[in-house]
Amino acid sequence: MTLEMEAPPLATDVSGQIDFLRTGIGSLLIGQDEVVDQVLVALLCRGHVLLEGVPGLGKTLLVRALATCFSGHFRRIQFTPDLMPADMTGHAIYDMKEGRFHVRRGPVFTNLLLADEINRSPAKTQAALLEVMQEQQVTIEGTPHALTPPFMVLATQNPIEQEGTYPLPEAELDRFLMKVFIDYPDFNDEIRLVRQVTGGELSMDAISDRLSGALRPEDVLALQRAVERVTLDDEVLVYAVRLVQATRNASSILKGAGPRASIGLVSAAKAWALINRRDFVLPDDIKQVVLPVLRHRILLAPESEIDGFTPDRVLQQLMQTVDAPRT
Amino acid sequence: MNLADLQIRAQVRTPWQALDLGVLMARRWFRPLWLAWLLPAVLIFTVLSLGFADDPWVVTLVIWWLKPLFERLPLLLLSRYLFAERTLRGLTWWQLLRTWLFGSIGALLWRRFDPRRAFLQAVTVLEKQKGRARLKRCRTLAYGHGRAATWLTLILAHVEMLLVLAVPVLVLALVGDFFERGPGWWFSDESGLLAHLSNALTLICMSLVAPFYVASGFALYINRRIELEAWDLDLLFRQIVQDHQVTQAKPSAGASSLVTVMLVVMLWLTYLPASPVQAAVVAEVASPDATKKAAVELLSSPPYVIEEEVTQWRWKETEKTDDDSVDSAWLESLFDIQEVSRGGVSDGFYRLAEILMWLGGLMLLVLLARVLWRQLGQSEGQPDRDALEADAPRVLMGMAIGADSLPSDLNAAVMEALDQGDTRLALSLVYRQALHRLVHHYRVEVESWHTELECAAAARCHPDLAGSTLFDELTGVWLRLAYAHESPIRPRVEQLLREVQRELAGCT
Repeated sequence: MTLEMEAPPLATDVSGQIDFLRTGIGSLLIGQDEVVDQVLVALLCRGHVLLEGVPGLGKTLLVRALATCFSGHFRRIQFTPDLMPADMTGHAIYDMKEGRFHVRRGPVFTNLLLADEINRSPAKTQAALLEVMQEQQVTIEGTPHALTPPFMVLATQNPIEQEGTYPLPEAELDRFLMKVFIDYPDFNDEIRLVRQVTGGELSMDAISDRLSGALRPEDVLALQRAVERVTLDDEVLVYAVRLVQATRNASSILKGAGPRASIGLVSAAKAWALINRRDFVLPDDIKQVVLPVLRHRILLAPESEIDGFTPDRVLQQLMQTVDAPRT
Repeated sequence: MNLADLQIRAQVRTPWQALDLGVLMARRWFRPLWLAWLLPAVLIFTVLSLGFADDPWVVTLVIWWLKPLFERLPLLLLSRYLFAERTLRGLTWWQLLRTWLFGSIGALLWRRFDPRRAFLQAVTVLEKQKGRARLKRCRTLAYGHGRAATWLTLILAHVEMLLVLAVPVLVLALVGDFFERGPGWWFSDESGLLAHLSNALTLICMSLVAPFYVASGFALYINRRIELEAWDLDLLFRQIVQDHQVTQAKPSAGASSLVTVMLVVMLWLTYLPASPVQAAVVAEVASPDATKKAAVELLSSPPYVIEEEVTQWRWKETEKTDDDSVDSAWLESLFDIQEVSRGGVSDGFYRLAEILMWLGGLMLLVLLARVLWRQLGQSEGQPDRDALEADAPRVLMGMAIGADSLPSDLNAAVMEALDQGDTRLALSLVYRQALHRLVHHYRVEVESWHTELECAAAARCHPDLAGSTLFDELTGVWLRLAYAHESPIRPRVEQLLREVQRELAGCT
């Protein structure tokens, strides 16, 4: 649902940078345009993303492509049952020669962190990562170490093979701005993907030369500040809050979304507006991001689950009960 | 019809056994019966689907209504298969057409809801009876079999409905959670491709049930004829005669023929009431006339004829077996139904029930006529304004868009707002006017929860507005004003007002 507005007001450098990110990642991650957009929304409003999808759909590629686009650092942690918090955050080790402790920084000290299969590790390790996500700093031996912005975590979950996993509690899920479903590409996209990969056109090396250097981490920070400047009408704000509050009053939902959801919804809508070359938020922007922002923050009532409802379906029905904002 | 070629064993069965036989017949000849039902139905279905592409419900209704006609060809085939005629050879096209047309008006109108249709259809289609003769024949046939025929219709109607409902549920079950739809999704689309698919599915379900319905009803009919016309005895005698002729041709079989004749005599005697009077009459009568007269006299006296004039409703006095008396004793002890029914209470009750039934039927017809009238009116380009007005939202995005909420002189109101420097009010009036025209005149389908962009998307889908970009432009300007707080210049608002009045005033 798009509409050509008269005289796009957005600065050309902002829209150009966003277009560069979209096309750059889109050229690598074929057939996942919606996922790319949602990940960009999360990046632009300093959020973190929980990716859910079966293995082999290009989650690592997505993060690497994103990092390459703005010359950022990228790290990947494979979560296993024996992964300890210090393996992730880092630790201090004693240097025998110098006779003092040296801090060895863990893989979280990066711009983009792919936490692969986050539910394979126990709650202690998950909680350590979630603390890093929230505070954007790591404390080692009592000394806080700030992470270099921009910092974004993309955690993945496998929807199948649930045996031996530690599902993230609702309170921890709330830390993720969005939960994004990544699904198989459709037939034509898969044909294009196979052709490009087997023809050598889609190798990371080939593309990194083309993408790297165009943007710097500082540009991403500037884009994040531009998102904050997007105009938000009071009625749209009220609409977003009404939507979140509706999740708390719906009989089909056992636990509704909290205030962090309202904040996330508005931030994501602003980023979505910016991605669509607008410097103001429409109610449609809110609607557009409702599902990824709220789907992991609500807990369905048992009877709804028995009836086969999913969070997405309940949220879609809920949107139809909340009238569009009064203008 | 040659009884010797009868493909089933001629014996009197209970109605339920006859229904079982009908199912067996349907299974044996399923394919031809199914095709005979399906092919004409598909032909008409295709024509109707093309003609009523926008109203698919009409197709299902008409096909369902024509079911008595579709059942005639399978019935004709079945009547031939039963006597070992495997083709329709000997029938002209005119006769086939007549099979469809004979008594079709009655079958489609006042006999359409007859629950014994499958059973009594043969009287019209095969015996070609009509009017009083048909009524009399039906009354004779239906005695003792009407209940089974009614149950047949009831049960198979439910089976058909279950099939229609089960297929989408099965599809959903097979698709699993990846398809986020409820069980009602199949029937939710009222005019799209899904509705036509649903119609096709309904047609297939009807066609699958129809052979069993026709064959079971026909089996009831045949069973009743076997009972009334004593086909079993007829065939038995024919067999005896045939055997007798064989034995005469073989002199060496004299002993066996003697045994056969004795068996025949014994069998015959078992069918006659053992009465000394009758024996005496048989012994005395010499001429055929005298025999006939004596038989008529005998049959017109008790116990053969029990005449009784009954002027009010009463319960049937069936023979009570021990089990029956045990089962119904508690009921009778509670209500003493028979006693009540002998008074005037039950007569009044039945009259009331009859009146209610007729009233219900009349109301149904009136409702049906009303729906048809509306539908016809809509197809002639006269939409039901009242219904559409009632359905259309009167408030969108917090703005009243009803005709009464807009100023009578829009031009003056907009200019006045512009003169006062209130661009927002002026543009909102123009936008509301545009929404009012779209929703209440062009019938653009919008919902109260729709946003501006969703309204614009709905307007773009409207066939009369597909080429116009006016509403998109207006929405763009309005969005910038409402959400970006950027007022357009005065000439732009005036231009939009002129264009709205020119372009959207086309429909009245």
